[in-house]
Amino acid sequence: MVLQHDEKVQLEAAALRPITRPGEYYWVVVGGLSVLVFAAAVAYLQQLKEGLGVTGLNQRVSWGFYIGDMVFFIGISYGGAMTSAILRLTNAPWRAPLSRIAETMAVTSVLVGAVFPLIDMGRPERMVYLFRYGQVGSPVLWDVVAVNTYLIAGAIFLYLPLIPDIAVCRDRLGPSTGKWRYLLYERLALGWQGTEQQKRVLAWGTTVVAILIIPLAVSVHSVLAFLFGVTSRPGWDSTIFAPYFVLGAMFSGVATVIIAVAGFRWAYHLEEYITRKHFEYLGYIMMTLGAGYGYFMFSEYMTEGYKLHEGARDMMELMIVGRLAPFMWLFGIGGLVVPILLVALPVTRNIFGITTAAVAVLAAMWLKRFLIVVPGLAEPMMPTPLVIYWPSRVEIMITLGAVAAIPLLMMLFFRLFPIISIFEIEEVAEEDAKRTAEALHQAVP
Amino acid sequence: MRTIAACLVMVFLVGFVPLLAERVLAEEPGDARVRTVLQVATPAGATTENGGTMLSARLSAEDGRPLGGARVTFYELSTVFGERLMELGEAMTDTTGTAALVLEPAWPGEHSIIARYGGGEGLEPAQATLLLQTDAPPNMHENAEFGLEQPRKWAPFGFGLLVLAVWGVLGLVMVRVVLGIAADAPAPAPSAVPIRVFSRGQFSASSVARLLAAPALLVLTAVPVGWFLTSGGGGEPDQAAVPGTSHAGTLADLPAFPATLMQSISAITTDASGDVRRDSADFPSDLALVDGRVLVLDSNKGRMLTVTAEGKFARTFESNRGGETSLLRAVAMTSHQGLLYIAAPLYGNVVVLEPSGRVDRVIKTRVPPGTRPFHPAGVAVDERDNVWISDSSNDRVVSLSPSGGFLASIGDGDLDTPGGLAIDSGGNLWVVDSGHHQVKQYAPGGALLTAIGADQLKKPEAVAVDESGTVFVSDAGLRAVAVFGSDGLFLGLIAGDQAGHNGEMASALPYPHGVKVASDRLYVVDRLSGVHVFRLDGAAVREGER
Repeated sequence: MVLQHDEKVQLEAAALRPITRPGEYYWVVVGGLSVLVFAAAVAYLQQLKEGLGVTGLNQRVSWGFYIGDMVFFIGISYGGAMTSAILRLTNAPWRAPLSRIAETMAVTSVLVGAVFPLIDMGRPERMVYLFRYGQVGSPVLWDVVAVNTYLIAGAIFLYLPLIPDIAVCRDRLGPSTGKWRYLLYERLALGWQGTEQQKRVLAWGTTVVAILIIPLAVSVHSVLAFLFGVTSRPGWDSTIFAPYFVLGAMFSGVATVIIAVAGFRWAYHLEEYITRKHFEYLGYIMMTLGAGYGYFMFSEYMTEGYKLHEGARDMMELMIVGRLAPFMWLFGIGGLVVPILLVALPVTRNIFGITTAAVAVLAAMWLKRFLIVVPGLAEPMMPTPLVIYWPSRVEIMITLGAVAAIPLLMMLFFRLFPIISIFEIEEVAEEDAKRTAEALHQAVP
Repeated sequence: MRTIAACLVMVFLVGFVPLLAERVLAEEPGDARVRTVLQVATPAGATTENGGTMLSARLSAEDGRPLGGARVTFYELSTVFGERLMELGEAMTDTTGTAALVLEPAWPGEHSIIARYGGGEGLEPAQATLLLQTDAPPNMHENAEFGLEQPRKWAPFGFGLLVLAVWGVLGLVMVRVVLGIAADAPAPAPSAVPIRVFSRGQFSASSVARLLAAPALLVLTAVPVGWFLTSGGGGEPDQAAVPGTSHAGTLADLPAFPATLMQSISAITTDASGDVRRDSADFPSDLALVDGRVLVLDSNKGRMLTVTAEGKFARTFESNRGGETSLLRAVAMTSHQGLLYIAAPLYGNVVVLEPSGRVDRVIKTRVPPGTRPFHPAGVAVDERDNVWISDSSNDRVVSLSPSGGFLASIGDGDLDTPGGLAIDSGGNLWVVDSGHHQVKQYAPGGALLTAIGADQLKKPEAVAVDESGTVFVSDAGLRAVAVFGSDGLFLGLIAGDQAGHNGEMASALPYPHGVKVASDRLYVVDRLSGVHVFRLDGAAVREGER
């Protein structure tokens, strides 16, 4: 059904509310998150000044929190982009109020994740060597190319559906919003008037990028998996790693979308547009991905555990009954079984239950990245003792700062651009009306 | 009981008696053995397909007679995890006395090659060294020669094209969407803020140029900045940019200082069967002269050796490797009032020994913490019994009271990796500034008086000053001892050149370190070849210079 005038006005008001009236606690939250990001920056400056010695990294475990964070943040980005792209291509009408939050989360988290390889370097200026002396055969170079390509595609995928909404900002907020902001809206709206020709071009571009971003996101996480998979370390030497990473990224990404949607829905009073139905659908997707991830994990451990090659045997022992077993079982139960039950059982299948499940999944998936990165390096390949890694205060502060940076960037973004896609909601309503009219026409000749 | 006693007797007979007999026989002076000569070289054009280099060692008797059927072992000096010899392999000499081995270097640049013959029946052991330059690292892997070779070769191009195609599609989408939307946009109202870039009628070449200007400027700025950062501005100091880096510094370029090699005591000695004796030195580092005796610091074994009248090493002191008197990896020693002062890196102690090997005392140093662990590389003791130690890791020289209390630190800011120390007759301190390729003189109060050797030295290690003020600097890069007059003028190099079998001159000092001078004798410890004593014939030259 086509939106009525007052419905459209209400929709625009809701979408523009974070811009016009962000709320009394907006700056408090922004300030709190900024403090965390600032603390992380100070911690990083200390690391830059004194070297990687201030971290818990050592000669054996040279990848710790930082590389785990990189895989985690790029992974959740992937979930945001995939959710939006797949739902768009399958023409799922319920996607419309969620897509902007998912796409923004995708871009901000990949921005944050892409910084971590630099943070992990004691001498970050030497990143330029990658371009001067980069080896085509190295997954590190593939990773840089794939992540940057994905970042550009993600930004385009965020921008294209935003054009009509920027035009709404231009037209509704007008020059009163300030000279520079108005100029920004004017330029980025590209003169959008909502003509058929403009809609056609935009639909074409958005569809092409949506098609492209799915294999790009798969490639990014496959390449991240190759960083580990092509390295001969116990626990990493696995053919299943690429799809395993891709599925894990989607799993954690959908959980992040649920948390972000729940948070912004509550903060900006979007209950009218984002309903329990949206959470249930996202919850079903998360549950399915969780089951798939559990199956992949079982498959990996079954294959490795049956043969019990020398390195794998020690690794399995460490993870299942050894020192890391509490974390591993916490992941299995708290990150897979409990969230699946929370979504599957009708009594907990509500917004609170599904959001709780998503929080558990997100925390558990971060833990799983840690369990992938660290034990593979800590486990000795020569008859030497197991090396213990524990993050330092600097690593914990930087990680917390990165966690805070994502909602902070999203809040700042939504201070400039509409939080829900007005254009897509209208588009879906128009398509719905067309389908209804066609059905009526066929039923009543 | 009888059975047990019988067993003990049997064990004694089977085990200890042959061992004792072997020791007794080994200690007995054997027949006079023939001196052997070993020369190592790389035959011209002997480079293999994989970038390897052929090493050829020729063994002959003193009279030039080639010695066939002898085992020659080749080593390379490795500095990974400390200095040690990395065995490359063994080869037997043929009827011409030549043994050959292919070296496949793992890194480009300088390689110190050592060939050793352990001696044999009636033949003395011999050692030869060679400094080799390799241009480029060889391929350390072989590409798979099977069906996947072609796909492997083309895969990067395929993936590269794929990436370019993706970028192309993304660019095409952006251009088409931007142009498509702008084409259908209304003309700007006169009152509205003009859309300068994308609105219809204004999407011109100049607007495109403005769009491209910012990223182009960014790239143009980033490239030189990146270049600056990676070529010295932010990275490791460029060798050429370090003050005092020698651009000359080859034996052929620099003049020789008149000196005659009087005696060489090989680091490696073997017994009658050709096996290396236990009292062979393993990377000796420094020496001291006390009451006419020459004492040598055997660094990698953590002990003290004395040079006997027969020109051999004898063990004088063997430290407990983990204890507070451990001399393991110690590289600095000096003598003062008949005692030996050794700066030991394990605990940062200064171990004071009598020449007989008895421990006089252990000075426990109390040095202010630096940014890195304290690492003594040079030691000297002044007239007031204060101990000076160069801390190479923290770029400083510290002075300590006789009990080890900290007194002062000098050189902060103008020393880079200080090495050996010496005190001249005027009480001034000479410091090897390895990082700046110089040797610096400081007044006892810490004021910098002079710096010498900037144009000659390559890798200075240790320094000695004689009574007339002549300065002797061992230099591992030059493979020689550089001599400077008291006025700082460069007088020449002492290398003890020896003729190689390919006609080139080779230094007797492949890796000189500790250096001491007494009247007209110069004593040099070479970490590879042993101890060498030179007679200084250049006294007249030095007088002439002055």
